[in-house]
Amino acid sequence: MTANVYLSGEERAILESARIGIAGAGGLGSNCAAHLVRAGVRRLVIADFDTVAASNLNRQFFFRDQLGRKKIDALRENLLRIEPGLELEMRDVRLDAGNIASVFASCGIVAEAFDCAEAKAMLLRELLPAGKTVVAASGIAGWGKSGAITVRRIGNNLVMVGDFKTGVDPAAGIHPASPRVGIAAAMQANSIVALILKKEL
Amino acid sequence: MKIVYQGEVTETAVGTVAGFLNGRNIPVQSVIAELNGEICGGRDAEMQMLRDGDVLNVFRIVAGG
Repeated sequence: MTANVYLSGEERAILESARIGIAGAGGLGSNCAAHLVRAGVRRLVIADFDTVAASNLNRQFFFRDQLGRKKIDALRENLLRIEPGLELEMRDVRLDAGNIASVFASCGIVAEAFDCAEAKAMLLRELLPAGKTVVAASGIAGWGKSGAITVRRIGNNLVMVGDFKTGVDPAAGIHPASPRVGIAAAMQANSIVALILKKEL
Repeated sequence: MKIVYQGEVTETAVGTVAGFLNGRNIPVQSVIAELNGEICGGRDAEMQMLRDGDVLNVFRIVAGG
């Protein structure tokens, strides 16, 4: 079963057979995962090394009673509450250039869901030349300017969402917050579903 | 020669993609560069010479997630 009762039999079969990777279970990753599960994706490989902190609750798909728990454990619990029949491979690992390709070896599509710019660049550098399809995000911090967040297909196997401009900058008072990060996470999930179903992005 | 950079016709001297971006204070590792519809990053950007009529787009990678 999947959580989406509106799918045709064919759509359900296609979405259920896909295996999607999510690199990071923070604001982008946790919310993207929830959207994918609600859309009908059943198989996810999700990697993160971190624990749930109070500062995460402004945007991440976790709850106050999950503070201090491993994000992969808390997210597994939350996703299974949406759909108990999921196949989740939760990896407790800090992704780097040496392990990222093997962690996501079984995934055709990987969502880049890091917060740090260097980690985002690392993922693109490692996975794109290997032919992996990547759906990444850049420029999603702050408030307002919802319409500035766009979806761009870049080259053959990269989709990026964001405004490519508004990065986290604490000195300037620019932080990640639920509305804009949530828009981007939903756009990543929407793009992934479109790629799986071969629909227009 | 002229290239189309970020949608605008731009005059530039002969050089590499990375050299062009460096001239605009854009470190190549801080962006995804797309040259004529193909991703052109890392060593490719260091090696790839720009040609007249090329279409170059760059997408900044900034923090947040």
